[in-house]
Amino acid sequence: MSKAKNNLCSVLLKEHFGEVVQKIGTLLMKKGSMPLRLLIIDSKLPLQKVKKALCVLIQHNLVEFKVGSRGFPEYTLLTDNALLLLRYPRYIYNAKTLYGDTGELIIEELLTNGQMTMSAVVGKVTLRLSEATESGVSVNQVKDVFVKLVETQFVQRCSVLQSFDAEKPVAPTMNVYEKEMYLIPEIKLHLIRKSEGSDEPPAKKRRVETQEDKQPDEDIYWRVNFDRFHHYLRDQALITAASRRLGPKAADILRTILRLAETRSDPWAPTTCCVSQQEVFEAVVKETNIVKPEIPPYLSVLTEDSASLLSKVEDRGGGVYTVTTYKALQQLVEAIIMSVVEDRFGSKCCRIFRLLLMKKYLEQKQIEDLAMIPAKDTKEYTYKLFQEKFLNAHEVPRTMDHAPSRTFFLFYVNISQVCRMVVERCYKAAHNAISRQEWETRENKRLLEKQQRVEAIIATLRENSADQTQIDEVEEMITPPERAQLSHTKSVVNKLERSQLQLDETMFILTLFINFRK
Amino acid sequence: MTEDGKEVSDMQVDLETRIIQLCQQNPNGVTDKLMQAEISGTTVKERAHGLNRLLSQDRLEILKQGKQLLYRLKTSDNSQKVKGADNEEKIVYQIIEDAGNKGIWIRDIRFKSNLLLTQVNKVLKSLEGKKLIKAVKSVSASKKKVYMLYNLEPDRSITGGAWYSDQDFESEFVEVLNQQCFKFLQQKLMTAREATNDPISERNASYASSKDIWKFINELGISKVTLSAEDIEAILDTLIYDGKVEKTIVASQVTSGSTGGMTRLYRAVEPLIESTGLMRLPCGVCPVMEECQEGGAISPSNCLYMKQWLDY
Repeated sequence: MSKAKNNLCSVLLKEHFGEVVQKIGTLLMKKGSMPLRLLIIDSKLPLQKVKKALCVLIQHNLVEFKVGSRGFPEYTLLTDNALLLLRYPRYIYNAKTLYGDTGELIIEELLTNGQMTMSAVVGKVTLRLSEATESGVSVNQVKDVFVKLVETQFVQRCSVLQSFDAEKPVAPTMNVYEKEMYLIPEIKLHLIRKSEGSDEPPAKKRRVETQEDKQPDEDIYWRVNFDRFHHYLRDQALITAASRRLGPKAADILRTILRLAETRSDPWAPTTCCVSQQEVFEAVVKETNIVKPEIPPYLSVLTEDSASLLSKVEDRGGGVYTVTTYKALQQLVEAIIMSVVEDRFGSKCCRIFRLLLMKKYLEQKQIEDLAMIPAKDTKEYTYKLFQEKFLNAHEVPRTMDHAPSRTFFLFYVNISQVCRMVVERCYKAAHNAISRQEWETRENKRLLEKQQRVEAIIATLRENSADQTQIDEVEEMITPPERAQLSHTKSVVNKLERSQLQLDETMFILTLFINFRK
Repeated sequence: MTEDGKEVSDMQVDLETRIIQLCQQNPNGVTDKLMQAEISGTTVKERAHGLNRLLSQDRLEILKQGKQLLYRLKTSDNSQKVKGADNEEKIVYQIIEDAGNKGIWIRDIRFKSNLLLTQVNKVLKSLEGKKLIKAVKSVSASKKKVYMLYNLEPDRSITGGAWYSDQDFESEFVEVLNQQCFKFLQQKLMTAREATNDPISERNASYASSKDIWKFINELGISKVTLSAEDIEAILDTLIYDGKVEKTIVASQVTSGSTGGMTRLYRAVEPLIESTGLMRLPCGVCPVMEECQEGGAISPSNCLYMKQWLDY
């Protein structure tokens, strides 16, 4: 856990859950695991607020608790999960591309609430969809999408209460049963439909407390399966790379192979499980408009490409293929780091860096000769990269006294170290982007509030069907310079938000690679 | 030598001619044993005296083979060249000759000859005046001069090959060639993409051998010096390190320009990603990232780079 990472977590908690949660979260990061008592003392917040903050964090799976050595429950912040807050828009977007608006809303609800019962999700999404569209969507349709999301494991059950000793109420043990992880419970759709019709659904629920009207899935909570999403996002990254390198058709074929392999192999193994050529043929022809004779050439191009996305492991049955995820990921990571080096130090430095990556260990003189850069410049570039810790030097002394004049200095690249360094920079950059965004909104707070007020007034006027002149009059309360300032702020905030998403993309691939190497 | 000449007895002259004859018969050298057997009727002392005289006249040279000594006739043209020179010049010439086309540094000449610097300088000057040796500037150290025989072509390590003119690395020339080679390969890739839909033939059509590229560069006429195919391959290698090109080697019929039945093929490739997310905001290239701190002199809220980028 680095300082940059903690800072980023802290601003993310503030952005999503407010200042109290941020305070508790920062405290937990600073001190590691802590019991409630100490949290109250250190934060100087009232018990109720601390409890509430912890509840929020537990609800979102950001804090875990277990009984500490002293017999008190201790709380620990899961920083890696907190960083995922940055990626929420991507999860929602991908759910939309996969399962349409309904999928988008289901994932959105689950993400904003942390965990929910199936009946609650289905009810809420149906309500929101019917508000948004005229025609409305039936409960059944929403339920089907939810079931599909569970079947494809994008949504999973939360851990359930296993035992709670009422005599010694310390901390409950939670457990997840793997068999039940993706088991769909019975829910009574007619109850949702009924509450949908009435104007005050919560009130109605409180009134009827009979066994008949209760949802049967009351204690089965669901949450988003981040790992599954990461798996999907990783595959997407590979497919995009294939598309850039070899065109859209190759990307389609790779997508099909990844999908075929996805259900049967361990998602985080260095290679996916094998897929035979026959399977590829059938699936590709069925799903895309690529005809069968076109496939073998693409397969051979994919396997022979230097990016090594696909590899042929066996010749039987016309060939058995696996996707070499680890290798492909490494290529992507190298490409990212190259891009960093190139943009920061220029293309000549990038040449030296890639040269060292390819040839492993080289002396200064060899770098000069191979990169064909004048000796003086090469020295400058190499030392610059060395200074910024992108290169390491290995000393090979010719004599025992390690005298510099009689020592070979071999330069080399330690890819995982560089990777961590770039991730750190990403954390800091993301922190900076969020702080800047916060600062921009704070600076223009008065103006933004004014705009909100004006919009509210206009909305009420419209509802009361006031004349156009009256509306125009209210609109003019915002002067043209103010309007320009507002549009500027809006574009600034957009830009910063976009850059956060792009930063997250870089971070995603790099952290994935680091985890792979562990 | 002439002083000695008066005292030379007939016998000694006879001995010397016999030694020379023997050496002429065995151009690879004569061992002591052989000499003893062939030139009978002389004592060891007499033979040694005769050999020493020949050596001092520079007509013989001594070589060591294992533990044995070999005597060999000196090739006449070498001794001819330095004829009329004094002993020091001869020694220095010898040292320079041994260094071959790599040349030798003046300091090393001094160490090997055990002469004083002023003496060596004088000798070198006179040898240079006679056009027996020349001084060549080395590319690895611009102030370092090395000496070699006048008629030798300096080694690549001294001149640096095609990429150097007057000890300066022609970085612009390399850069232009680098760009031209890439342009050629990229055009090839484009035409290959347009020509066909089949991925394999597309890939094959986008390859160009180093010989093709060499021809293209020669026809462009950007280079004043003639470049060899190896020079072009060195340029293409830099493109590989730039990540713009990939290389494969295929077996082919033995033709000129390919080494050992192998042809090196090159093709342009698209990078796997566009510039990464980190680099799309100023923090990616920020030089003062370490000092950046909320509330500090440099902070995200008062960042100049950020302001310029956001106002853009």
